[in-house]
Amino acid sequence: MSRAKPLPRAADPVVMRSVETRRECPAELLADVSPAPARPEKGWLEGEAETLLWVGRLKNWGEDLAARLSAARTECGVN
Amino acid sequence: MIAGLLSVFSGRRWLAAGAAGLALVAGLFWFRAVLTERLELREKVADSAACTAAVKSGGDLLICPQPVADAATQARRYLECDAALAEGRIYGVASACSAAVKRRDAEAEAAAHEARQLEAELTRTRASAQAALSRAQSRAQALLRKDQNAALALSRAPVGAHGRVRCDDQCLRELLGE
Repeated sequence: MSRAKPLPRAADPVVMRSVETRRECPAELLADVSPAPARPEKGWLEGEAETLLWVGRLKNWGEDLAARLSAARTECGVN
Repeated sequence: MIAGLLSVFSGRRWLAAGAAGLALVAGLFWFRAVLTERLELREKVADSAACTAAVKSGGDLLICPQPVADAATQARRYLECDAALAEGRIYGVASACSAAVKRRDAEAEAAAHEARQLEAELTRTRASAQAALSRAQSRAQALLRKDQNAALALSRAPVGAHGRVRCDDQCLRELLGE
């Protein structure tokens, strides 16, 4: 009477692949945003209307940029 | 008396007795060989029937000749593997499938996982882009309002000599939106 040996099973090749998406903030965003320079008290300004308006718009433009930077920091999870 | 006895087993009678004895012994050996063969054949037939039954019923294949046992085991594993693949049973695939099938299965699984992750990432990116768009919109509105306020502040300021506008502290506060 013969005794058959069991057939060995195939080896286990395991393919594991993992994708990890990490968002790294650039160093410029990690650095704190410096506050805008303070205006001298009781000051006044005299000049051409267009140029004075330009000064005001320059400040608004700077504030807009600061807001964008701040939003970017929030997206990065800094704040 | 002794001589008479010897005379009985002498000559041709001795030869005949020897031949008969030899034939008997040979016959016994032949009979034994035939009997042994028959018994072995009977056992083989029984084993073969048991093996066939085992292959049919999915029973233990130990009784079968090695090549038959291997082939039957392989066939069973193919069926097991198919079922495991269809039902997505990882352990079933690992135990029954061949190495090539396992590799394909693992690769398909990994690819599906990757696709799910990328899809989630895409959904998140879309939501993030939507939020960024609305933030940009509100920032643009705020900037426009500030510019209008600045122009308004300057229009209220007094105009001096040579058409120069004098913007005092209060005017500056409005101009700069403080």
